[in-house]
Amino acid sequence: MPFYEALITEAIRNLEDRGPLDDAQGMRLAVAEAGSRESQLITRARVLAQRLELPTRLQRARALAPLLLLVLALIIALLGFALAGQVVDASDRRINVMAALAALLGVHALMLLLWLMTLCLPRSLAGASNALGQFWLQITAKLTLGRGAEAAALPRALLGLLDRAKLLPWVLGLASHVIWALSFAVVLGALIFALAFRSYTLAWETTILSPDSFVAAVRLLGIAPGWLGFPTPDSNTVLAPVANASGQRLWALWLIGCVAVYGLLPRLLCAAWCALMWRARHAQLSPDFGLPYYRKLFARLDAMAPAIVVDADTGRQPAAVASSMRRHSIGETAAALAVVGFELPAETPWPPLSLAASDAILMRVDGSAKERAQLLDALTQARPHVLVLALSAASTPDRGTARLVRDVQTTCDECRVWLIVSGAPDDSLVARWRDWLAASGLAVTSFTDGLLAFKVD
Amino acid sequence: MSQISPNSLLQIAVVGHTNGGKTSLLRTLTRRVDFGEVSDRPGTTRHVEAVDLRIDGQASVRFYDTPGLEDAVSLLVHLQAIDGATSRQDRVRRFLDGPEAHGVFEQEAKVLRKLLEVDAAFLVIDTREPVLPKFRDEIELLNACARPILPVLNFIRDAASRESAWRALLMDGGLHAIVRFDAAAPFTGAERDLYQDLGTLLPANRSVLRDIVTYLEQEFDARRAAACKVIAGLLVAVAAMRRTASVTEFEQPRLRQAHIDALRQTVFNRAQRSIDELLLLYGFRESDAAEAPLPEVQGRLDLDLFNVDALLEAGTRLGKGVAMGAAVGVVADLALAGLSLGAGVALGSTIGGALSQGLNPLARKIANWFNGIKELSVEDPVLMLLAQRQLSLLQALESRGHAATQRVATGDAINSIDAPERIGRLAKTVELLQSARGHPQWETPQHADSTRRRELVDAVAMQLKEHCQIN
Repeated sequence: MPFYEALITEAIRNLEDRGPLDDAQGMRLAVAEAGSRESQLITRARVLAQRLELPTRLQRARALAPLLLLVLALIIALLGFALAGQVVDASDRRINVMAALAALLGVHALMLLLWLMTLCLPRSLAGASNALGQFWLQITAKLTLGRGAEAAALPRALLGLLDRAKLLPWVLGLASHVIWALSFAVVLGALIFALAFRSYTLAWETTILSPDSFVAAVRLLGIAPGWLGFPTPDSNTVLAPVANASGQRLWALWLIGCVAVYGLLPRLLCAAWCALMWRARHAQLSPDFGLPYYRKLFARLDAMAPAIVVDADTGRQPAAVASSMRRHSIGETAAALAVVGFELPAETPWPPLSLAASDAILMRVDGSAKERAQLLDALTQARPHVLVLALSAASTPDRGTARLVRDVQTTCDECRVWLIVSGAPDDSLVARWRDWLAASGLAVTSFTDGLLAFKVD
Repeated sequence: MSQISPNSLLQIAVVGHTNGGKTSLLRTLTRRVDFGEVSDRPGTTRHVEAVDLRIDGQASVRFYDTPGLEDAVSLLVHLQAIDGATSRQDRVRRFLDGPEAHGVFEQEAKVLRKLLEVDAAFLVIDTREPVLPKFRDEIELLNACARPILPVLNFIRDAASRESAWRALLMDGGLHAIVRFDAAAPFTGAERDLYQDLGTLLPANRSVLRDIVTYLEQEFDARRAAACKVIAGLLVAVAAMRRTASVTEFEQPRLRQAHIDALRQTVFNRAQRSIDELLLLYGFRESDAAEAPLPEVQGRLDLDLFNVDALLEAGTRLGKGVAMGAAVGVVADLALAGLSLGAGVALGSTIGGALSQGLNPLARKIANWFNGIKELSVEDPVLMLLAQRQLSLLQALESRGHAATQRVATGDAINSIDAPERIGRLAKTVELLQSARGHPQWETPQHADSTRRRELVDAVAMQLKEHCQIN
């Protein structure tokens, strides 16, 4: 995932810590995009970021950050000079070599040591050593991002992302090392210029140390620059109260070599090391999509995928089967009662106890085509005056039942639907049947509550 | 998952008798509470509607919700009257070309037309219905389309379920692979079984289906991990809560009660926010009153967190789980139930925690003591109750379909949360939370990014997740 996208996405998450943003447009565009859910989230974040002007803020920060880095490097270099200046006797152009070296390299060496040490320490304690890098980030943010929650969210997102990828000490370290390296480049340039075109007397001073220790120190310090070809003053030169012209040259080259090898070089190496770590780990710079915040958005995105109506409802009610067919005229029917159990569950007792002894025509139909046909044949023969269709209240009304009701209506004068309730009566079931009868074009003319029976017309 | 390209889009029709729960099944499978229309009325779905199961944003299965079959008996008679057909499938095609496909049998025609196009079909069965000849005819009708059909037995947990009779009917109809899947309250792993059994019917698509199962399991884990983080965040925030006021203020009963009520309300609101977040995480609607997703659990969640009896019980449990001095004797002051007051009350734990927290909390306590300022904070038993209730909600959400419009008994799930071995674990979690007590600023989300708070939330979430895994 590109760093910029990860940063924007995290910044939006940070902003939404305090409550959701109005993301209607963002979500719409995200859903429209065919891609992984992560990329959809990035689209949403981009849209929101655009509205909050995060990209322009980031652009400003990007433009100004290198400049600020340079300024910081110059300040460090000037501070170094100021310290070194303390040991330059301006009146007779005498440089105290060892003190100058300590002034130029002392703070740097201390900070570098601290940085190396904190690499081995737990993350929570590692902050202090990268003070310079942190300061650079802070000042960049302050000068370019503006005020408000939007401005605060970006650096927070940046630090959070870097921390998650275990890159925070390396990136801050890179900034620190680059600042130091730049400042050493400036210092070296100035040093070479001064020593090349002006005449200085380089010497050392001491009150309590023995001269031999200086000889040893100069020799030791000179070893590493020696590998790069920088000369080391021999013991005679060191011990001489004031070295001759060639001795002065040796001293000057030794000083430059020491600053280059102990100042510039380690910082360059460390910066390269940090850059390598960045290269190795920057692929891990991605938001933690397992966070509840992102999971919630995933759930919302999933729910927003459009459902497509493929085969639309024509809105037509199914034609009323046989309803136009004229039923036989009244008077033709026998003065009989027929009770028909239709699609009743197997455990429903049949015939119902109250009817067992009556002379009503009792039939039970399981709903198969064969039994339906038999029923209709029998009813056409019998032509009952009143037909009671006993149905299970718990079953779902369907068009098969509607068809039967219409079919049997042609065989009788009056048709009633009797709902057989097993277990506790449920008003909603009765209401469902009544609604359905009405919706199916079977007008309910009377409804007897005690019998749970509808008269259909 | 990116290997699932659009051309491997698996098409599945969901068919069945009217009101059998087709739309409900799809809601649960696609985790969308808003798909289609679910009601007790027959024939709610009158059109064919497609909805995709997305894997990582890519549609991998396209489901078609179809109208219910209602008049299979007559349609079968009608089909048999069509002559000149070479096969059953050909008979169906001739019917679809005929006039009645747009007449009496319009609904059924929509189902059959779709069925001829798809890779397979789920036959959703309401097992509460008595097995009647019309269902036999429905199966025969569907079989005539010569497509693999996987019967899905719905409402199997209902007392009126007639599962064995249905199995016999399905076997008779030549349908041997049968899945039990309660759309309103699916069993754990029911979804996996569904796709695995579908794989036996569709050998060519087995790898796609395997990817779906893997993906669903990953999603389940990820959702659970995120939910545990939400709960852990709540617990850390509540443990960190701390209100200060001068001693004189606490001596006036009215002012004191106002402080106590304010803190209790804060705890309640924070818990409510966490509940809303959990609902969103599981694809339910936030505070949806019309379709209150979890009425029973919800009722339990709304119970007074500061109920003295519940707290005493939780306190005793905590005492059993881990030796924690302060936990048992809390409810000495009834008015304070669940909260603790004072600069010195929790000092013991503060000194104990000083090693891990640094000396700041201790220094603050001493300063407060000097300045005559008292602190109001939330006691361990409340944390315990909060954790229990939120976890029971999580459990209910995990075992809940997206279709339920009715109450579902979640009692079993809640009770198992209270099992003794779980109490011990929860007590350990509460112990872990003590380190938050030294950081009042962790209450607010602005500090959610502080590394140490995040580490604590992660640790607590990890424990909660382990807790969920003992099933």
